[in-house]
Amino acid sequence: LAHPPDEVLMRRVRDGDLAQLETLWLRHAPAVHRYCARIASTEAADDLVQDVFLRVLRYRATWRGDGSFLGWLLRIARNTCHDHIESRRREENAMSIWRPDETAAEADPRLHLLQQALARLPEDRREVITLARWHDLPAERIAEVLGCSPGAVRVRLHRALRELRDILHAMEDPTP
Amino acid sequence: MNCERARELLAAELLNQLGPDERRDLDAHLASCESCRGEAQADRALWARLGELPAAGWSQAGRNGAQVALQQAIHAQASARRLPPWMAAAALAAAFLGGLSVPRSSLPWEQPQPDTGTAARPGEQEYMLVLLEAETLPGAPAPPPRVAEYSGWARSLAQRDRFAGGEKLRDEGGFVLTAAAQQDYTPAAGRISGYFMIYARTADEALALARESPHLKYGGTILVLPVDPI
Repeated sequence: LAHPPDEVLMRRVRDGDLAQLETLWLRHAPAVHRYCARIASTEAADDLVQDVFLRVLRYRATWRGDGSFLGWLLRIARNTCHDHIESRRREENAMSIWRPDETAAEADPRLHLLQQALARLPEDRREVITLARWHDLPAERIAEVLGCSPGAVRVRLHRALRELRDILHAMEDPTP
Repeated sequence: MNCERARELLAAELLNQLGPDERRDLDAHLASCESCRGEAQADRALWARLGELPAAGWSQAGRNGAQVALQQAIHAQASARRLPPWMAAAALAAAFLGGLSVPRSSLPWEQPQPDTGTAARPGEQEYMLVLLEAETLPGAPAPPPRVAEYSGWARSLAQRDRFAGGEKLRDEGGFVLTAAAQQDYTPAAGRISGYFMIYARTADEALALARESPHLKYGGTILVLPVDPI
């Protein structure tokens, strides 16, 4: 565990010691960036991670300290990504605006296809996969972020994987 | 166990959250159910493939830019809450004081509300501690750096939920302004070198907190002034 714990630092931020937010930034900005890149878009991730921490600063007085800081932070990241997606969706009138990072997996056709399939997955399905697979969060923490029970996280994950598999199959074998 | 439950346990397995009893139940079900066996194999393979996907890179320039923006926002938040100048003028008529007051009302974070400027809770009073410097005798050595010690005091106040803000003031670069004139501010004995904003339940508590300040042992004077929110 990092010392002082995140929750203690956030309490200090809430109570006026704003400089402590920089320590929280150093600890968690890469994870928030990873989340935003997976959920919103790789191009927008730089701006979004900044926006997430600005929201933490702006809404610091609402930190109640009754849950984990990371859960709270990712919930803010989730809302920030959602706002971004909604505004882009209005602009583009598209179902999903997430664009895979084409360069990241282009060397491996299997991974490239997986990227494409993820792009077609609805946002809420991609969200649970992201938190479980690339953030290594336990079901309780994911539940905190998604606002559901740990049992519901298991069900959502199972459904998301099945849907992703269906999309992959359809892409690999497009004949009806 | 039915297939639906087995598939929920499969997700639990991927989350590394399968207890020993659940593991035994799942294995027993998979041994007897071909459909779930196929599902498990496909889920596990997809899970492994997802793990191979590289994360999007974050350039050092992007990271630095975002960090600088955050630092600027922190600084702006700190200086956006400046106190009205009449407070300083009335106190000493010698300098223009800036201030920092951090609200700590508990709002649902989805519904931020306008900052009202002060945040003393019911039963608490906000106080401004104005730090006046001791006279430095001609030829006396320069005072030692004290910022770290003052910061430690601020941290101790914050840990007790008593810290609302504070800054050190520069000796140079200030002005004295009236309706008729403007002149450079010249620091002199008794000048204001900084201030703290604190919360206290009583005047005695405010005095007790002020007495903890390292400022007194350096020969300084502290004005303990209750804030009258406007």
